[in-house]
Amino acid sequence: MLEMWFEGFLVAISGANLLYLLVGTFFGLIVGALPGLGANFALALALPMTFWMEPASAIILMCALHASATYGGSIASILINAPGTVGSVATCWDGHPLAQQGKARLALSIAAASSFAGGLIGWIMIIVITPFLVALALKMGPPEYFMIALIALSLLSLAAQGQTVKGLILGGLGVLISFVGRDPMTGMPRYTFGSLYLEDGIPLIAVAVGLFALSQAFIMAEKGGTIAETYEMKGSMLEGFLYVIKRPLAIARAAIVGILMGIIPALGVSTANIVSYFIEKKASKDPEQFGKGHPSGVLAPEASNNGCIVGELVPTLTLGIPGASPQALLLAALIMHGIQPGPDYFEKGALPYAVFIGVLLAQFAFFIVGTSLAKYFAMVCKIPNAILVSMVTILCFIGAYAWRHTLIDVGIMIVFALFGYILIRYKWPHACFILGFVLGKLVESNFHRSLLMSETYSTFFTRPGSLGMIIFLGLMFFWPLISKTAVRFIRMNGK
Amino acid sequence: MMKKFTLTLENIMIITVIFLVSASLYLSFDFMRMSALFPKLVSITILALFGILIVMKLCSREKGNEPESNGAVTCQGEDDLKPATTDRRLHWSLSLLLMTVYLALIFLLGFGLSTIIYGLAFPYIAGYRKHKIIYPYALAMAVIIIMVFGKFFQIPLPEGLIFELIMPE
Repeated sequence: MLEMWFEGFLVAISGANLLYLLVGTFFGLIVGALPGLGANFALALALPMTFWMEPASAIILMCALHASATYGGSIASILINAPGTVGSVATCWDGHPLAQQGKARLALSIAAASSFAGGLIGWIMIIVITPFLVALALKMGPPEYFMIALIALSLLSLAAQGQTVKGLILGGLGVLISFVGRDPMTGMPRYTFGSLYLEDGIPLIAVAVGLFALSQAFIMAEKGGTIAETYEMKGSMLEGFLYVIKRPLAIARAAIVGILMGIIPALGVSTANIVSYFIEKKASKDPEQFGKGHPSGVLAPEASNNGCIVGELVPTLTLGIPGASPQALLLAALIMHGIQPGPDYFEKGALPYAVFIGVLLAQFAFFIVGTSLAKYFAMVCKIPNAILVSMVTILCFIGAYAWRHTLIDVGIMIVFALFGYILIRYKWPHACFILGFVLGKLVESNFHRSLLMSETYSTFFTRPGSLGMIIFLGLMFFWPLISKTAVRFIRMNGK
Repeated sequence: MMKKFTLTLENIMIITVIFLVSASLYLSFDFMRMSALFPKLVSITILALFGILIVMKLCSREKGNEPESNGAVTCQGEDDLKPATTDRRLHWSLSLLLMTVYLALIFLLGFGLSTIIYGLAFPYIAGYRKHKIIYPYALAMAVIIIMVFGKFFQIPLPEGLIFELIMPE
């Protein structure tokens, strides 16, 4: 076993593979930093280019692309409040306020260090617990997936930031809009009005970029000046690294959330970064500072993102089930190069081990390259808003257009930008909308699959995993009441 | 005393959303049973929540303690930032108009030319007058977009209706 790891290590660090690692990292950082594009785009583009490569080189290139594009998403989130990828939506919420306070360098270093730490923790955990997770994942069915999505959806109350009714309305709206398109269960078109375009549903990229990036362009245009009030870039890279090192618990918490979200197919980074953000907020001693530039608001989503992409490798490599669309592309690359993923993945010579070593090296590569270039990225804050708004708009337009090559996506993005602007202006908790939108279809399809499987609602209560989650959900819901009663009881007994 | 109802952007949004959700509920009656369950459930819940929100708003209006929202631009972490005075501040409707015009121009003239026009026009309208920066910026932006997305990433950028009419295939 150890011999195989060593052999895999030697394959991964051979000259050509290190070069591919660096190329993948640079390319991934650029693509990740461009709003609207992301890991999907980078991997889809790289896939045909890997035809002529050695299998190990191809997979290492793709792993580097994936890891650095995921981290790269935080750069645009922090500097221009435009989520570079769907997985960096939550990073905007505190990353950009930090940049506005002139602490872009601090935010970028926290993002780099926590992404690296999250990826590293994810990698270690995956190596240790993969065999157990494979066994567990094989036992999970639609009722469990439904309950997990429901638990994630229950975070709406946290995302509402004290405006529960408004938060629930927006979450519901997000869920409702996610139903546009063909029903995955029956194939029936819903709210499509006969339009072929709408049959594929409303694209997440257009919604996320419009709601979080382009809406910000309206605000930047109204504000004028520059992003940072001061031209001085407060906060050093070292300060950011120390901030992360001093919070091992927060890093571990976020990384674990990310890994779990990664292991469960279909959840992925878009859910992981939002969920970990709110878990961190809940755990924080000063939750009221979240959304106003709390460094932990950058730390948690970034650590979970990179933990998640490593976690997604588990179902992909060991079950042959891609956890998310980038993993589907990785799976395609593996199959293309003659590696058939499955439970016997580790019994296929040194190559599978080289892939795991490649994943580890990718974490180091984006951390080194990302941190050495962060100070140049931070200079964006000095650009006048008059120029920056047009730049953001152009990038948002190309980002929304690039994925499906249709200008209708750009139109949809503008509509959601206006909606996002109104929500921000009147202080509605707009994060709830995206949470509902991401989880809506997942909740619905797993609910129906569960019923099709057993034809009775009791399936949610008779399966141990699902029942455990119902109890957990109930505890979460009634926790304020339970804790209040418990405190009263303890006080009465004390007296 | 009850305050007069004012048609703010927020109220327009609420009315529009209520209308759209009601329409979605109406449309869901035509769906198959399985496809209709969640849309109906979610639509009814949203409408009920809007009912609660409106009652809450009316109650706070009657008490006269509704927080005054003048629509001042604030976003996460931005409350304490003073508005800058160096450039002209654009009203959201003007930004929206410029974006819509940009989209229409892409459709007509293609990505390259319309990006140059938008890159020149927006900073100028926003009061930024450093011509030595604006011109190279607009040109560079268009060239970068075309080179990176069009040539390197092989994304078929829109060439524009006019170009297609002049040079069909």
